[in-house]
Amino acid sequence: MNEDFEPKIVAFLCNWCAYMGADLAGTSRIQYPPNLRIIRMMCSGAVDPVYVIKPLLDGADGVLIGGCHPGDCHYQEGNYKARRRVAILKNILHQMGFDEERVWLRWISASEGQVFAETVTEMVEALKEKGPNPLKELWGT
Amino acid sequence: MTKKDTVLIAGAGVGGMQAALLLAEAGYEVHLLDRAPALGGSMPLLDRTFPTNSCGLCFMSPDLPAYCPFIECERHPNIEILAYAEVESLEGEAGNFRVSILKKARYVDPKRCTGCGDCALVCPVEVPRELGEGLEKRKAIYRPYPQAIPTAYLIDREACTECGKCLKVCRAEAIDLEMEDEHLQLGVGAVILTPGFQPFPAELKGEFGYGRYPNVVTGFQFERMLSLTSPSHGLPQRLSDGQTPKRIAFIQCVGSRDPSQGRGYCSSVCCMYATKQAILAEERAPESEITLFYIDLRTFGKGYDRYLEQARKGYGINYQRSMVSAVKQEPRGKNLSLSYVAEDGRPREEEFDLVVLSTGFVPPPGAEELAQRVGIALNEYGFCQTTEFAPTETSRPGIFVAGAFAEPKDIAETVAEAASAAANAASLLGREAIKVKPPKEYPPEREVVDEEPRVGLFLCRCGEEIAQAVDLSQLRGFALGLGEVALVQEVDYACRPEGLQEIKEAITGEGLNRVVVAACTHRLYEEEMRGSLREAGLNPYLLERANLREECAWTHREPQAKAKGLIEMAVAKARLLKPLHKPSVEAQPAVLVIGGGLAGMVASLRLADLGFPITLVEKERELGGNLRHIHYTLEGSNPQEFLRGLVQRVESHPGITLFKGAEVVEHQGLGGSFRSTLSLDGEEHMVEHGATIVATGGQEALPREYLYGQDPRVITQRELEARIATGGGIEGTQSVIMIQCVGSREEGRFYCSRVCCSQAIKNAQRIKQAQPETAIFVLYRDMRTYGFKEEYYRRAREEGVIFIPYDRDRKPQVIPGPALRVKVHDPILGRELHLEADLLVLSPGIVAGDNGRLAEVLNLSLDEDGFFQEANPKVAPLDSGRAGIFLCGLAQGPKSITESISQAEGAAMRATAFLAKGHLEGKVFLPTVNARLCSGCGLCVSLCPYDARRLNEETRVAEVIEILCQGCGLCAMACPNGATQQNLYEMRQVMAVVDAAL
Amino acid sequence: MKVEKFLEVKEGDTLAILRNFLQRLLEKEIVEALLVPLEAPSGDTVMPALVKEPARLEKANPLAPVMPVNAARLVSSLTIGKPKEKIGALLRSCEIRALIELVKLQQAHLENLMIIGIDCLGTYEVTDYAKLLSEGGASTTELMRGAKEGTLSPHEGYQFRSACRICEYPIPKNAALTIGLLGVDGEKILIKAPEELAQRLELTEGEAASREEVIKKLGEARIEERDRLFAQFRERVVDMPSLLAQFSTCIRCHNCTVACPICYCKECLFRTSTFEHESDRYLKWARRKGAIQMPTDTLLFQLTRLNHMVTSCVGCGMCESACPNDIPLTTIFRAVGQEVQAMFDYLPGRSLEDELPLATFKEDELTELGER
Repeated sequence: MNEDFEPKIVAFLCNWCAYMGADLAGTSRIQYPPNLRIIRMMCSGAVDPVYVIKPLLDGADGVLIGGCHPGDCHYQEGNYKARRRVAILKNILHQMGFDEERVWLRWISASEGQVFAETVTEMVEALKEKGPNPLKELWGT
Repeated sequence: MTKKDTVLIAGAGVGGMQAALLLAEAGYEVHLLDRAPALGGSMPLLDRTFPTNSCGLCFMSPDLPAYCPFIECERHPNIEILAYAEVESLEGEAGNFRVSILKKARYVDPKRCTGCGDCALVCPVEVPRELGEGLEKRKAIYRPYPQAIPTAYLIDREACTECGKCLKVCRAEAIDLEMEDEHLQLGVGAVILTPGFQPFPAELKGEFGYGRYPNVVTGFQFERMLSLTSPSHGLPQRLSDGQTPKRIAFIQCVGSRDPSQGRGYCSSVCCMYATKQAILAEERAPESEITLFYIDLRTFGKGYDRYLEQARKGYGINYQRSMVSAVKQEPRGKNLSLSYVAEDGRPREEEFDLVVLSTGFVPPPGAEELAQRVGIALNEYGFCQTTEFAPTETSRPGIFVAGAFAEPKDIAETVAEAASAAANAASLLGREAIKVKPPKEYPPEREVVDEEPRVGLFLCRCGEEIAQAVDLSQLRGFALGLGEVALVQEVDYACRPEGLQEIKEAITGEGLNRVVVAACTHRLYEEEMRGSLREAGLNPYLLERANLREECAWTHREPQAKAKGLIEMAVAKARLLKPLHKPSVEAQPAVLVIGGGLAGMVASLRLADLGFPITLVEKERELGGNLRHIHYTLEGSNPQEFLRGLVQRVESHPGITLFKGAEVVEHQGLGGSFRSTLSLDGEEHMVEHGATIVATGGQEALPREYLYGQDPRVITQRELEARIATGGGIEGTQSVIMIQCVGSREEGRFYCSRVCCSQAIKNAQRIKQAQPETAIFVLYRDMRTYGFKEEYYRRAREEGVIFIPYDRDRKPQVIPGPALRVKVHDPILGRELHLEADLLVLSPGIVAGDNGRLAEVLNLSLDEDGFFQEANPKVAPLDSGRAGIFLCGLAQGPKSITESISQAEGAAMRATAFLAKGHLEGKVFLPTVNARLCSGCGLCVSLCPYDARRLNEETRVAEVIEILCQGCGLCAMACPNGATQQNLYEMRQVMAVVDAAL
Repeated sequence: MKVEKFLEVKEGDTLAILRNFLQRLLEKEIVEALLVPLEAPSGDTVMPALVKEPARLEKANPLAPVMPVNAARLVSSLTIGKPKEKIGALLRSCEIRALIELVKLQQAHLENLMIIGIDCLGTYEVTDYAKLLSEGGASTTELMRGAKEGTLSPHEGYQFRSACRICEYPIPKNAALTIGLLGVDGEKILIKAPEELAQRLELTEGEAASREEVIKKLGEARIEERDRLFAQFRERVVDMPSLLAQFSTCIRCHNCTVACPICYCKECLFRTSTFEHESDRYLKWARRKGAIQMPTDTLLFQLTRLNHMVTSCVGCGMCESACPNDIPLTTIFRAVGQEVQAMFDYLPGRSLEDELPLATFKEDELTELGER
């Protein structure tokens, strides 16, 4: 494990739950590693596979998708639809030799500031363990 | 005297927030007050509610999708929040009250406090935290819970030692120990009281050891413990040793149904909350063995019996019908030994690791003072006095009540009642009180599409909250190198008028055409900042935010690199922003009400009084529906007189067009502009309306068991009532046996009809009054006389009515013969009883009417029992799930007269909030379709949860029905080639941000 | 109720009797037009043609072991505007399966369409077929002999297309009328049709005793070959470099999307303005990694295409045949598709009833995903 390596994570958080959780982590002053760049979407179900694949090919070390807990989606069932799409994406990445564990889907509610911060911390740790995304160095994409 | 046109709502829990949002959305101005320093009442305690085991509170807002009602209340321009305040006095009369309000000093200036929390970190004083009844600690300077609204901290002066540490660390200089209470004078037209309840103080039941034994907790503490944000992260925990308990006991009715405590009523929700907690505990700690000790299981709400069954069968929770007499602590391990009388009549002791006391509801703190100050009557238990047919009216005209303060109740009923109270307040104020504010005048929007982007970046110092953590001057240099950034400017507070003015001036001065404000979360001040753009002649959606505070300065020790990243991302997005406009369609201010029973008539009258033209359609030739068959009530009101009054008012109301013997055969269009066809005697009538209320009622089930229809001595409760009312048929009857739950709460009809237990008691009492010598036996499974009805159950027992419980698996048997004989197993005596009856009365419950066809016409779904399916059983029981169609009364599920009335008025209020503005505004996050690219595959249509996408068969292009779209973006994701793009989330825009993030 | 009847082959000329049969369909107005492969005037291939005049069917050759296009695409063009005349389309199994997916994707309609399925005996690449013809190979007799026994081996020195080598579904399903060749005596052709239709077609009785067995044997051989290829693929593709190696020669010519029957977008996402980047952007990327491959976005394109397509991929392999740079797309799509489709118990082209995995969801599936 390379201690100096700081993974870069792109996060797509739904506006209503996961982003609110991130916001709450902020208002609660919970510290977590700054490796994350959040892109707020209206719903986790609106995360196009392209948005996940593109940063990975460009060298991002991980992608986090955050949505409301099952049953709590603001758009009724967007998170279930997201779950299916992410499952397909992860399966494809895995079969194509890409480390699909760099893609995380997590349910985070608006009241789970702590959970959000822990998730980021865990993810950073897990990615440090893995080391940098090899595509960072390879030009052939 | 002129009427005042605002409403004061005292109590900002779920009911208060619901009433406030509905009134505000309808255009009324609202003062929303609470004694507590933050909004929410009891809601912040709950993060899962039954029966969905989710939160879903956001579905309560009339304008979906929405944040939590807490945030929506704070954001709504028509709502003024008065937290930490009390009503001091009230004078005047309905329509014109003068209210004096005490606004307690917070000792922290909410205008200055940034909510950073540094003060609480240094505060040395710890006291028990209110939320969760002291399960955790808080500081003397505190916020009740992290998401509290208002966000500002406050000082608990009783706990504060005035050490001054907080003063030293507060950079915003927000703390002021010299702050004094304020007194405000308000003129309001109507008042709604929604102060809620407080939990019964469990220490009063000394035999259960609460307060003495660490492993005895209240249901409210356990609720907090099961929250994922609790110290145990949602795991059940023994307070003595922090271990996860294995054997957990719930003791029901602690402080409920207990005349010795002066609490002779049922708290209505404890059976369900305990069941929910038991399920959650099983889910979090699957090793748990849970026993719930109860008297009667009162899971009478919609879907609740199925939930209970799931708890029993799916989670293996053991329900034990026994009264626990005492709890003793085993001194060494601090386990608890429960003494109770088992069902076989023998005393027993059983050991548990944790005991949860399902404490009931008592009136909220300060209820008596409040009642005195505003001049309303309380009932014997200290709850607000109301009447059966006016459930949200207090004894003082112009003051309304909703929620648990009127009677202990669940969220669903509270939400409906709050809407009902809002309807009452609205009709008192009249439609003329609705403020249609003229749209603010802005300079014309500058055309920017063809211009090269000129991005202006405003770096907010947020006092020093951001500036201290992030090197803004370095950011400035970085941003200027990003290209197309024409200006970088620091502002002290981007949210304050000076800051907003600076932004506006810079836009005009520098000719900016895109704006990035790097400040706090987008949830704050978004409208104000968009306003600056608008005032400078820019489309308000040419704004992008970067969250340097919550996402950065407040969460990272080394935030600089991330701050750069956030700026780069925001600039990348801003460059590609396009001007946008919200769609708007006109709404027809007229309502179609389907069903002329109690609910339909009440809803029609409310709306007609508010000036909406009403078309009321009743399929029968006579108005009144089921109410025609109700001759007296448990509480002693006269329903027939009430009915006559309603019918007379409906028939003579100039605003109501009445169609009797008619049916709705077609219903087309969208919320705001429906067009329906009614069929009356073969003739068709066309109606145009903006909203629809479904109030089609239900009916008494027809029993198929116990010789009904074969033996004339077997009748239903309704038939008995008719006999009693007409004075024929019960004279000389020696013995009456009543059987409850006939055909219901079992396979095929797995729900409770709510009213049958009360009906049985009311009929039993009538018989007893007329013929005290008549023996009456009520064979029941659980007596469900919830709320204050419990009192009548107690009286009936005192009057000699004999209640014998039976099991679903051991039903009574009826043997025909010269005398009707009934065999039933008495669990207390432990043997079979043989009873004889002259009259056998069955309680078959309520079934849905023939709703199938209408559901098809309206394109609505029915639930598994044939009632109309509501949008959310907990927080949106009056919404159908289709915009502009609302539900009330028995059409939605079984309920009492009182509940039907509040639902009907509530549905009327939902319709009012929907239509009052005269137009419906769509979302800005709309999808757009590039017809050239669209292949018409329909994936967007199948994934849209709102029917807002439709395939045009002719052009084979998937269109957007803008007014139905809620802006989730699912369709854009589903579209494989980007033919559908979502405004503000176009693929180009998102990809640019992704790229900038790396 | 479908019945199994037979066409009698005279003097070993299977093609003649098939042509005659097709003519009968037009003459008896069972269909009003026929989409069938005709021998091209150039003489070196067959191409699908829409035939109205029965005489034109003299050149029909449904047995030609070549497939220049997956005809589902053509059926899409013919039916998306809802034809007023009844069209018969002679299709191989992979074409029918693709058509079913296209119907679910609303790119084709089944009204006024009669699907005539024919057993597929394997196909060559277009160029191979032309060469084989010029060498006088690929005779019908040779083909039919193999069909009878279920030993479908290519002409010596030639190979079937890779998709055909691993195709487990040579027998058409979901057809109104099926022409059976496998496991049928060389003197006969099996016709499976609804009873009423069979009567109008004046067919004879008989039985194809060994058909089931032959099909089973062929299927097993194919599956063995398939699994061998899949295993190779899974051994080969294990990490990022091997992922890159799979697609290193992709030039994003989009031939695969044009050849693919399922890729229904009017214009591929990767050809829209979303993927027209500014010069600055290319330079920024080059700066970031030191060098970027041009054209860009090739791997993104391939992986995105997998995401969009793989649940509906029927494995016809047209993409690979179309690829100028020999990317093993058939194996990739088939291998990846097998697992992804299994997640939802979905088999593309199996049935119109099965919902497209991308168009739906279940509340109780994949419940681990998203939880901590």
